[in-house]
Amino acid sequence: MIDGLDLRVQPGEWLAVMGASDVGKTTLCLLLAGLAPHLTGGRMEGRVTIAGYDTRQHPPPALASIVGLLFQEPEAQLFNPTVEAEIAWGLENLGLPSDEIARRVGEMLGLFHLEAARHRAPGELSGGEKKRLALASVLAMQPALLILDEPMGGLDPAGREEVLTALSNLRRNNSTTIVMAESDPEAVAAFADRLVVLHRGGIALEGTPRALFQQVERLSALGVAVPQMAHLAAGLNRRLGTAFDFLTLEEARLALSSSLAGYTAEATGATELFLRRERLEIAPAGAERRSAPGRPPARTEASTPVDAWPQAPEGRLESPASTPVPRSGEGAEEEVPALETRQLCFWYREGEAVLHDIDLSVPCGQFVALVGANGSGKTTLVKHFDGLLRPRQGQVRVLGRDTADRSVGELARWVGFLFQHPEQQIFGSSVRQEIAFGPRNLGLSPAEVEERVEAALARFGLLAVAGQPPAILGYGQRRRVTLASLAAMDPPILVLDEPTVGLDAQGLRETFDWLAGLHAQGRTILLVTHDMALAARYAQRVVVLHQGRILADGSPARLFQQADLLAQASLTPPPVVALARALWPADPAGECLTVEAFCARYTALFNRQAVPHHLPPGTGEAA
Amino acid sequence: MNPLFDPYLPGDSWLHRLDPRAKLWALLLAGVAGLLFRQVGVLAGLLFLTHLLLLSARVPWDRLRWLWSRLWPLLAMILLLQPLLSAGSGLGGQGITLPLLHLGPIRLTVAGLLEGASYALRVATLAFLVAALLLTTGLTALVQGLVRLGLPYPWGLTVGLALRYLPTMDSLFVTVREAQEARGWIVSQGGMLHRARAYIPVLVATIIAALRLSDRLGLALAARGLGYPARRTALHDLCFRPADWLAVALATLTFGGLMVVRYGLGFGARPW
Repeated sequence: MIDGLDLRVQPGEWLAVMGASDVGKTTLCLLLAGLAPHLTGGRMEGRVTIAGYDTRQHPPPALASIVGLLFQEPEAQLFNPTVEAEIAWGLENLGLPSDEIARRVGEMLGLFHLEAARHRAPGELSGGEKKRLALASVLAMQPALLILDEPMGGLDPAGREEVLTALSNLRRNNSTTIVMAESDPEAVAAFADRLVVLHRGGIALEGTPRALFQQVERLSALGVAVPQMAHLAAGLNRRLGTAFDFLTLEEARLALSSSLAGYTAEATGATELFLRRERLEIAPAGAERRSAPGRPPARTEASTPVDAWPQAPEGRLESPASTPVPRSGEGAEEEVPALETRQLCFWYREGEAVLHDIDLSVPCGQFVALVGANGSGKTTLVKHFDGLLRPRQGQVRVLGRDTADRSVGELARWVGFLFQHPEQQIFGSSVRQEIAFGPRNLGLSPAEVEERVEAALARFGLLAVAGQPPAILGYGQRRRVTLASLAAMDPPILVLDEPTVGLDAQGLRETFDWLAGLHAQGRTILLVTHDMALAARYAQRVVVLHQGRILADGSPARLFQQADLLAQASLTPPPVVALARALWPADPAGECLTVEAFCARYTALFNRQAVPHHLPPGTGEAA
Repeated sequence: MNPLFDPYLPGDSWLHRLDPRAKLWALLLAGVAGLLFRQVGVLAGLLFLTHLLLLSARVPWDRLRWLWSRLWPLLAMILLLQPLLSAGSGLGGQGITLPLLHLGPIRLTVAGLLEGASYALRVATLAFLVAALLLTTGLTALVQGLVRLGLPYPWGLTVGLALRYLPTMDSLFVTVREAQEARGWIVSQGGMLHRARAYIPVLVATIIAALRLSDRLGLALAARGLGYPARRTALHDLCFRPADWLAVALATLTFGGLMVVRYGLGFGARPW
């Protein structure tokens, strides 16, 4: 896993480690924490020293006061009955006096803004709070070296913001040496002094995040994501021969607004507002673009393009209450929706409704993104489509059939469902058996099962591990196995619950290439995601769920214009959209959902800079 | 949260404030007394007192009702089966061992019915006594109490972790089953054996996920210093106060009195 790695971290340094899935980031964390190979098995050659302590000569408990490790999954590291007890637990192991424990517990509760949760059970906290608590529990022990394994992993946008703020406080108030294995390039760009990229057990690239994130192609080949702003800089440099090196939204705004002074000078006031995510009404009359340049082919080949959706006046996003989506018999085409709910209500416990009067209709062949904060009811809603949950009130229909009298197994013929965690789906004795499970349940002939399994193995690059038990594979490969299992069932409707968690840049690209291909063939796709950039890029329609109700429903272009609505749902637009709105707040053609669209738009303006006038409305479409 | 997995009700009643060691001692004595007495009246009185104890600790009626709703199937089974299995003739008592009903080898007698009631009351009393401890004692304090009584800390921690992760395992099982169902798996078809075998994939996936979790938990415990070469301390250390001594003394005296009644006066050996 790790082979011939030489790495030295200076005291007080913040080192980020990136790399593809299963490249050994977690193994490196366990080695640096002194837990591997003592508690993990395996063989280690060479030496790891932490502040002068050789990990081979000091068992893990003895190193607990020197090195702290934040694990990716909070579930496994929060095991005490209250928040206070959780922070105190490690300190009690160190044998500290109770008044010193109380002092440090108080300090950590303050630093991570957990005072109000002091006596609550960790299990009741939100995702962001759990991460903060886990971080507080480790940091309370005042380690010389703090290791963070994917601190941003699996968080919704609000939780991500909470953890980013916590890390920012840590950076400001603490001189602890930090090693952070992280897939989120924005977090790496924000905090790391140095970045190393792992590949095949060793270091493939090393340098400052700013220097390395310029190498977009190289990083992409290594399975590493780069900040969207770095993508944008590379794209503009390629088109215009410029030398932009911005990494953050603010840097990009400054660089691009000075570069296009004539077109953006009047926008700076609004820009500040938007960047601070304050309430901002940007509602130019007739502002909606009818099409966006640079969108992937899947969008334009869709059976129900964005343009067919009703447009709300004055830039307001249409809500289902005010402007219902087309239903069979109401629109131009007589078509049975793929998925439909009518006044759906659901509760787990009487009096605590999770879903309230959900009216949703997804036409066949549409690519819909379902977004919202954790706890907004996304998973509860989509579980109704494969019968795992049944409505308490209202109706759910799949391809026109009421799910009430259909079993889950029966609905599985039409709705393929991908769960968030691969470990909750995998049980087969081999990858091949695992993938064959679904097609066999559908009652297909052995020949057809075999044909589908082989095709799925090839499609997801699993032929080499087809005979291995899937449980022993790394996370990335297990995720591929679950995708292949879904592909082998070949359902007309796919519901995917956070399929991107734990995927590296390459896995992400492959997965969405596959989904875009299926969509182009006419499959209906319902994607539950926290990733607004993916929603902006692939979805024809975005449904925002907030506290069990549909808050908004419409095209991504419309949704991302609504800063206040996004803030209400604890969502943030993709950086490139925020940048476009910041640079061209009053320009109806300024809405750019993807890096490619932005580049085209910017290039058009850049090439016309000789014209010393303000951009007239409705012009300036990409060249 | 399911009260079965997380029974503790935070509060500040006199029972909440008692040291867990005092509560454990009182529970032990009350449990032994419940096992030594068979007289239905004494056991019913003990059960009544346990309810008063819980109500004085401001345990809501809802929780008591919940516990009864979980217990009654077991109690009903005891009440139904015990009289059929035992006629109570080994306990002496003229008249009440005469059969009310005689069907082949089955003899239903008043003694048998009273013996069934005695067993059911004993089970209910013990259940409510344990509930009195768990409803008013936080997990950390309970483990701390057990450790101070001589239980090795890793054992106490194991008990705490088992209770902590029971709901996790429960929800894991449900999620795994849902994931299999979503791939077309239908469990409701076929006979009992077929259904049992159909659950194998769910069990395998649950065990794999549980092993992964326990593996990660083991690492997390070590990383946070379990086994650190220092004497373990506590944020809130236990302190045996005069009220605790008083509770211990009262429990011991009451137990002594009951033993005199039971063995000195010979009362309470039979269910009637």
